[in-house]
Amino acid sequence: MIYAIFIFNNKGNPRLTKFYTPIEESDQQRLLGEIYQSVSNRTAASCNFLESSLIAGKNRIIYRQYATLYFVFVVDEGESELGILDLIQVFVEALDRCFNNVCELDLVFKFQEIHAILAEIVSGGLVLETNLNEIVASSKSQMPKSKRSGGLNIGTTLGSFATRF
Amino acid sequence: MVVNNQMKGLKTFISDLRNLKEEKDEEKRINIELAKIRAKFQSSTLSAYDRKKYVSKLLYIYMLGYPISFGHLEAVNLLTATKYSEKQIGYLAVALLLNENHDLIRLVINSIRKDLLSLDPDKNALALHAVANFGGRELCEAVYPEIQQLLMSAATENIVRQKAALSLLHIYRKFSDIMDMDLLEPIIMLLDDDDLNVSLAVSNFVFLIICREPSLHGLVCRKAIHKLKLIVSGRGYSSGYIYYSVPCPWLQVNLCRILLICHEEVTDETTKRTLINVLDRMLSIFKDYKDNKHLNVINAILFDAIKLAFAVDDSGSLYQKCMKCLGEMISNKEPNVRYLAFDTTAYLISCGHSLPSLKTHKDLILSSLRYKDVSIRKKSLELLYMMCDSENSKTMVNELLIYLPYLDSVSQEDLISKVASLTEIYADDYKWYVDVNLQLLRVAGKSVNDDVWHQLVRVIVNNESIQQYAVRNLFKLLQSDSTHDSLTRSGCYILGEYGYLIANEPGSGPLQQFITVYKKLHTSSVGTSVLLLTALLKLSNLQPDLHKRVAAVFKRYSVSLNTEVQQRACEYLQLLTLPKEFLSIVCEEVPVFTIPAKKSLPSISNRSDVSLTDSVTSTKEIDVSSSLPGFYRLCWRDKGILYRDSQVQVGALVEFRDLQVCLSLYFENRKTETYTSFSSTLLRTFPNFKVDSSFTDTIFSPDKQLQQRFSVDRLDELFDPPIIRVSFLAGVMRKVNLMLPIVLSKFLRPTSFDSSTFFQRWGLIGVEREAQLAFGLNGINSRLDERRLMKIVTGLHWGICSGIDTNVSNIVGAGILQLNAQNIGCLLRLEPNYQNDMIRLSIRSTNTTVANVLATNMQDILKNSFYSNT
Repeated sequence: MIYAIFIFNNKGNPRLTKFYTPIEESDQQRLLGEIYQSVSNRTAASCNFLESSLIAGKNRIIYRQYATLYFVFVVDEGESELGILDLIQVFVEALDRCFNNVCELDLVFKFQEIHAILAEIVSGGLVLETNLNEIVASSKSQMPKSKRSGGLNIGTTLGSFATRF
Repeated sequence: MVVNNQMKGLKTFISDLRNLKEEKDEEKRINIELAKIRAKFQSSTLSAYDRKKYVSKLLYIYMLGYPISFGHLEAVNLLTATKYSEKQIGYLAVALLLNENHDLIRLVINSIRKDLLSLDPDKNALALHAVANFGGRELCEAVYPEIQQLLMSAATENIVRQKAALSLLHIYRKFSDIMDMDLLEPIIMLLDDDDLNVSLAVSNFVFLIICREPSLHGLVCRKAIHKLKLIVSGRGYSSGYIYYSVPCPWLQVNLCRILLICHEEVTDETTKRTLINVLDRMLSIFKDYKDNKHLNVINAILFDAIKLAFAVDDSGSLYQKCMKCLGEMISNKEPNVRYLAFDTTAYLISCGHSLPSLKTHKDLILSSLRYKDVSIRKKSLELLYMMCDSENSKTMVNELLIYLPYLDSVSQEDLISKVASLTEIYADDYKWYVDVNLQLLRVAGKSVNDDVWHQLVRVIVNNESIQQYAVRNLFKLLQSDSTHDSLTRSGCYILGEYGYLIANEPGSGPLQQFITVYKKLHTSSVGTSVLLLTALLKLSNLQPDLHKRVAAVFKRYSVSLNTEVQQRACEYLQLLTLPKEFLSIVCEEVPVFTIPAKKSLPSISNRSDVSLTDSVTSTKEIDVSSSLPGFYRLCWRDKGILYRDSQVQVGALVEFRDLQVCLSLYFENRKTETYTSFSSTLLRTFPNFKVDSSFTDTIFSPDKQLQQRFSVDRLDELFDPPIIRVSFLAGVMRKVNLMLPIVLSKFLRPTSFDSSTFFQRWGLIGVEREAQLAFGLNGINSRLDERRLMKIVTGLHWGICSGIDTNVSNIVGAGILQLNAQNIGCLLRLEPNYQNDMIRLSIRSTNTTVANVLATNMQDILKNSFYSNT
């Protein structure tokens, strides 16, 4: 199962934290810091997997970088590494479709909606839905019909990076 | 009703924070905001909209890492609101801010139930997520019927059903007693659902079911093969589930993992052939999609298909295909693929599959030891370790040693412990063992951990034939000016023990030995200095000429500032003044270590028992001393504490049903902290001994009790009591071995005879099939106690036959043991001597071995059951 999901930028500022296993509040930030440390030091030639013992004994950190943002999943033995790697891709593509060219600022100002979209993909630490159309459709049905003015479109969009892999 | 556009305050607040220059300002700004929100919450005129806005602000502050100490009640209020946008924020806040045991959760249970019953699928979804993400016992108990209804009803929308499946899975995982077990089969049936997403959600559920319920393996196996076949053959899914031209890869992977566990249920040839065909097809997709840029999913499927293919049939037609795929992946340039290829290969070797063609890739794997990514370095080392066998061990170790100087310190340490354990497992001549280990100490002393040099010393001490060779070489290495602590320690220790063996060789006489140790004394750490002083003492014992010099050294160090060194020096100085005979007794050569340094070579067939980290300890004898008091007590009692320390307590309950003996273990956490990686493994077992059920959680929180159940249906042969190892992480790794109170006498059925029948049978069996033992009690203060003795004898399931022995203090008993479907009669005569606290025990049985086992068991138990404090 998935123990935790983090999104943070290349300076270590958290953009989303979600735990599927109870973790003391005081430990949550420490975990985030340690994961940021180990992930941000890795080069582009490294693989996207790390073994760690940060949560619940032995587990693996699976991460992907898009523009300025790191998407990090901490999972147990039961998950396929490459499966999770592509789940991150699905997540980013879903964000991209919901926000028309998503960028870091969307994640900052609309964190509630990011949580809602994530809830369509992962529930209780397990993969719920992988069909992009379904995810986008049900996320949008829950979302208020906000007009995308494009006013937030400053900075690099993740979408242009979503096709990198 | 547009959330974002209206919550201007939240946007302004976030923008404000982003515009701040200094980190200190952020904290200031947040504290001001928190004070403002607190004041707003206390005012009586808070509108629903404001509440939503302020709770959202709190959530943002929480995400930035500031503790949130208030506002929980407002979050609860939002959750119970009727407006969807408020409800949504409320659910989010409750999920993030409250944990499953928070008192306020009680307040939302009713509201969550209402949302589950609602006809609005969005509300259903919110409530189902809540249960899956933070459902505690109380919440789960309350909403279980509604969730079950949602999952099973055909009227429910698929999107709600898949969420219901995961919520129900949460309940099954954490509180399986709430679940109706009859529901498991219908859930497995849902694997067939036309909607692939329901199937995917259910597959997660099924995975946990087969881990817990072996009886359902057959059903699951058939369903999973059928589903996999449909997907692979391109039927049974809509185009929405094609991810970069691969149909639902996540479900394919899950199905493979499910089948890996339960594939053994495939007994008939047709099904097996179907499965092999499906796997064949899956292994071919590599070719079909070679041009596809998105190879991740394809590889994900391949890795799991390969594991399954090997498990199903590791010699047939699939083998070549698997090896070809694996070979291509190992040599793949993409780091992710290479990493997983190493991982998969190591897994396959650990399962006992032979992969001879792997040899062609050895150089590539070796060169990966220097790859720029630490994850890959680690994996390649693990794989090389697994590839080692008795044939290639020497070349492999030599090649690893070539890489040693070029590695970073973490990898060095890892490599050293692996090499050390390989040399130990595969050493057929000890010279090689010593050579390699000395090289480790010399080249990378700073990365050698204590275990490695302890083990080296142990092997040298236990093998007389290499002592001279070892001490000669160590002495040479010690001549260097800079030696690392671990080399100094092991070198001087061995020199102190066996220096005399090279005392007559040129250049290594007693004086040179003294000077060598003495030189090291100046530059060593405290721990090492203490060891060096001991080495000097031993040297002076064997070489009386050194007596004066050594005494002078001790004198100098007897004023050392370090108390430990000072104390040692003073004590040794005193020893030197005592008569010579006394010193030679103190400095007696160390006896052979009782833990065998090396037992048998693990053969290929039991290779799977050798785990990556545990290979050294797994060959050692098992230390169960800490559980023995509990074990002895539970041999004659049905329930009690098997083991207890400051961290854990293990309770045991033995039950008897007809001929069956069941043992339940209850693990309790005695601290307030949560342990992780909690596991219990059988180290010793016997064929009739079965594990009925076991906990699956590895997290062991203080409020939880973990349970494990074992049973023995019938006995086919004699056995040794099973041993389990309990291990968990509580800051450090803790391991405790427990001997389980399953002994032969548990299977005895008490019977009673009158005097004449007893003597007739006693005589019939005869003295030649009698086991007689006479023994005293362990412990100086132990006293035999009549009532307790009686209790123990009946507790060991002997039927008491009274009035038979002329001496009234003697105990006479009888029992029947069913072994290998035969009834074996057993008779007991126990003669206690209360004056001298001695016991004489005679057991006669139609089977001599049974009599012997019963008698020795009983002797152990009786010896250890009369300590004065019990």
